[in-house]
Amino acid sequence: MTDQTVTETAADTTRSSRSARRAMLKEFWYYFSENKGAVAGLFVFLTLVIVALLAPLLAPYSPDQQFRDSLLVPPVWDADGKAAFLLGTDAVGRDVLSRLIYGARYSLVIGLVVVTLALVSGILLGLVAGFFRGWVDTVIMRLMDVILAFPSLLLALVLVAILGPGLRNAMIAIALVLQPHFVRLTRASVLSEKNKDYVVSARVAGAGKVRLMTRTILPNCLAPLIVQATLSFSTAILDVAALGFLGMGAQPPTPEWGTMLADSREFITRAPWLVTLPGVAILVTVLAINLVGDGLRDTLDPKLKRS
Amino acid sequence: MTGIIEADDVTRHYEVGRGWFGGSATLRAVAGASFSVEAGSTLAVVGESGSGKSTLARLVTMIEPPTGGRLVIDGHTVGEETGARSGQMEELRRTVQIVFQNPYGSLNPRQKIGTILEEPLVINTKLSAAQRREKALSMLQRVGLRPEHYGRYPHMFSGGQRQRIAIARALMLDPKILVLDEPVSALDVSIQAQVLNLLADLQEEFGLTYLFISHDLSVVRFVADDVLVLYLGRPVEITTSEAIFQRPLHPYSRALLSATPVADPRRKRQNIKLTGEIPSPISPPSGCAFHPRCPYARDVCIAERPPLYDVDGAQVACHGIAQGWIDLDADWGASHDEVPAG
Amino acid sequence: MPLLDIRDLSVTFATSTGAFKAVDGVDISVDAGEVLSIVGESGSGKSVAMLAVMGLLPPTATVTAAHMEFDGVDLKTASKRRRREIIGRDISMIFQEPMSSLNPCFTVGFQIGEALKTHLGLGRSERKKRAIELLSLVGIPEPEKRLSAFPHQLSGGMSQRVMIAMAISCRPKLLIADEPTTALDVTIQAQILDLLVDLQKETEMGLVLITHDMGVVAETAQRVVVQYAGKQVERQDVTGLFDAPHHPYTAALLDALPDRATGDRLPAIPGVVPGQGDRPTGCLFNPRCAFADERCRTVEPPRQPPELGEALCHYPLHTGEAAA
Repeated sequence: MTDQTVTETAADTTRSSRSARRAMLKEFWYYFSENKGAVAGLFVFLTLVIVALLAPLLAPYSPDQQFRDSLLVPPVWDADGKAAFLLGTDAVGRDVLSRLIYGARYSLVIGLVVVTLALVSGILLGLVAGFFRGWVDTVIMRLMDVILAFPSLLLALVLVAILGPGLRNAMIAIALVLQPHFVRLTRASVLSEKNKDYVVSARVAGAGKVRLMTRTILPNCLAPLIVQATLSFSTAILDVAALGFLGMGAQPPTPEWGTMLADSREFITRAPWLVTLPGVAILVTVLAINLVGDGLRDTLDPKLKRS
Repeated sequence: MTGIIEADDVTRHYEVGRGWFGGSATLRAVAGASFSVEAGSTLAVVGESGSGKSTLARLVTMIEPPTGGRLVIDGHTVGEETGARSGQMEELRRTVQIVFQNPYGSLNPRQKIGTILEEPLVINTKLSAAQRREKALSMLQRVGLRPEHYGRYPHMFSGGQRQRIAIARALMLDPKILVLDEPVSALDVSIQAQVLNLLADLQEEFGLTYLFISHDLSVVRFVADDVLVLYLGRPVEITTSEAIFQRPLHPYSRALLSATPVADPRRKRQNIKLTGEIPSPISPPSGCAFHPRCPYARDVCIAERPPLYDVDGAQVACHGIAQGWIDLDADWGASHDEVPAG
Repeated sequence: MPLLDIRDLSVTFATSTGAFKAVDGVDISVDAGEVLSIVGESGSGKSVAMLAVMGLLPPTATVTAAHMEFDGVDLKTASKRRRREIIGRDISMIFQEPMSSLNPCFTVGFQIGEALKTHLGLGRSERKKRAIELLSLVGIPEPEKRLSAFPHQLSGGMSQRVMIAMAISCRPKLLIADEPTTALDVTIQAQILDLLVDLQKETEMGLVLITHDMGVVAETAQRVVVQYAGKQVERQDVTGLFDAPHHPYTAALLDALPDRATGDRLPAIPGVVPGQGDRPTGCLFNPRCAFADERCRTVEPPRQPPELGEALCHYPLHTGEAAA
């Protein structure tokens, strides 16, 4: 082979690998876009991400700025509303819209941190349990069963009570509560993949345990994990909001949606928008993410794929 | 002359649970197999499901250690050389590679063909990325695929192409022995012929030794030099490929041959019929494991397990053949004599 | 008049990448007491045609036929109710995977009884009697005991016997067997094929055997249809087909069999069966055919007369005719 043909074939192979990836993405999008709800969910979610990223630019005021002369102003569509405060103000005169926009940042960070924590630890434990079996498996899985035996919010409350209230501890607690799902899912996938011929082939080629676990088996277990991660993202937002509402999560004056709900509890009759708006924000976010999750499940889960 | 694979009474037992209160039982997947394979030749292991042929493949590939007996591969005893000399064990592993039956399960669906082929090199050698790529590309070409296949994923290939990829991967480490576990039984006839030809070419080119596991006797006749017929984890007959098709000795070999459909509508159908099914390897029959299904079985077959006797240059585990009370030519009718030599 | 008579049957699937014609212009006729074998590789559409007759295709499939008649009943115009009555009672089918064809939740006896109840309306004790009779007919030892067995307690061969018992429970006039022995060991395969042929002779039913195994065809069939990429490329009686194949595909397929090999390499057919995206123009086999010329690549081949195996070919082969 001459040099030229070598480089040509090299270029060929990279091109074909790139086109292969593009083809896979295209197929993924074909199946994903069939689910209109999922596409809508994705759109809402992306909007939310942009809003969170551009919060300082989009928000009319700082979330903590208090307008002492305009307490409990209703939203603009109300007869008493002011154009300066599109969604009204709360009991201490903070602009609700600005707080909601900044709150999106918290929600996304919460979702991201909680899911990452739960995912990483869950995959690690699940891989170890599924790969080594025996007593390691028994110990890990019984521990997970214990965690699952508690009502999740109650367990999170107990953990926060021990660790002390605060957003960081709330996130750790929720991650711990969500993690058994990832462990079980990973373990189940590992068990079904472990005895497939391609894993045995890798073993015959001399692959060590770590390589088998991370390079060979793990990539084939990811599809259900991605789906679970998406759905957990919304659970995390919901749970942290719930902890916030109970006063165990983010502490005032953090513009976290759950905490905002808690703050406005006493004004529920006098200023219903204060409760409704963060509630709607949570609802829309969670719904959008769940729709995306369902769409991902339909696309990635080969059992449901139409052929 | 010693072969590249020497098995001496090799066994592989599994402990299987019998539910909550049953305790455990012993499943003798390979109950004692002795055979030898010469370098550069092909030994076909023939048997039905439950005969232990796949377990034998796993033993020779060192995926599982034998529970008893002695297995010598390329001059090294499997299982003994551990600990301080484990380096040698690694070396030994490289000399035996395997190709599986199902080309859809044996390639990692998340890896590109190039990654699949290069993985053995990454693990076992110090070749640079460019060298690995070159080797993978030349191997792709060697098995009849094109360089642009390097960057594709397994699901883009047909069954026959995948089997070529699996063969290419097995050859990346320049092994001496290839264990072929039913490599063509999942393929269509026209594709099967392509892959069998490729295997024959590769054997010639690289001087490979094949352990060819199969249930299909017509394929075995084409590829094998020697044939080992396995029944319930024990060889019942070891002989040359020619001999087993011209004049099989063991009643089970004959039944198997007679049951194999032949693409010739004029052939007289099955003159030896087998009743019943292969018994469970958890509780194999006493004496000769084949006696419940054997039309010739006598008391001695129930009482005593026959060793491998040397008969007419073949090894056969049958009292009747060794003691001469099975008439070899009575039931083996004219229809089989005119089978053309393979 | 044939028992089953189908003219110009086509099946098209709607897929994500466009329409796919899995079966294209297929004619099938089966007489009572006849064994017809449909042979082909994967992707030849050999199962799809019979599934279309049974009405077992998914809703993405469009079935068209010029004529479709079973035992004097026009299946094209018959009501759904009438079709359901015929299918399952007069036509029944067995599949490749006996283990997954049986419902794992119910006993063997219950599952056989269900068919008897639906189609024949037998009472409880009659059903049991008939079920035992059927199980012993298909060679299952201790049938009384097996009635209460669950499918997972049976081996592959036993499960296939149970499937056959269920299939013949209503004394069908036509039995369609789709790769009935592919998942079984050779000695069990021989037993099951014997059983099928014996039952077919005894009950004078028609048997359609779908398979990829030329050996099975040679040993059981009377007439053979060779299918390639959705089309019937050759139709002959079994001895004629094996002695003097007229379509190059049939000839190449027979030559590629290891048990017919003479040299140390097999005469393999190059290339693969065309898929949805790469169907050639002209003759479907032309890219893999040793005899193909310009006409084969552009013009669709005609159907040859019966003495040339009704081959779908411009240049049917005459080799081996002397032997026939």
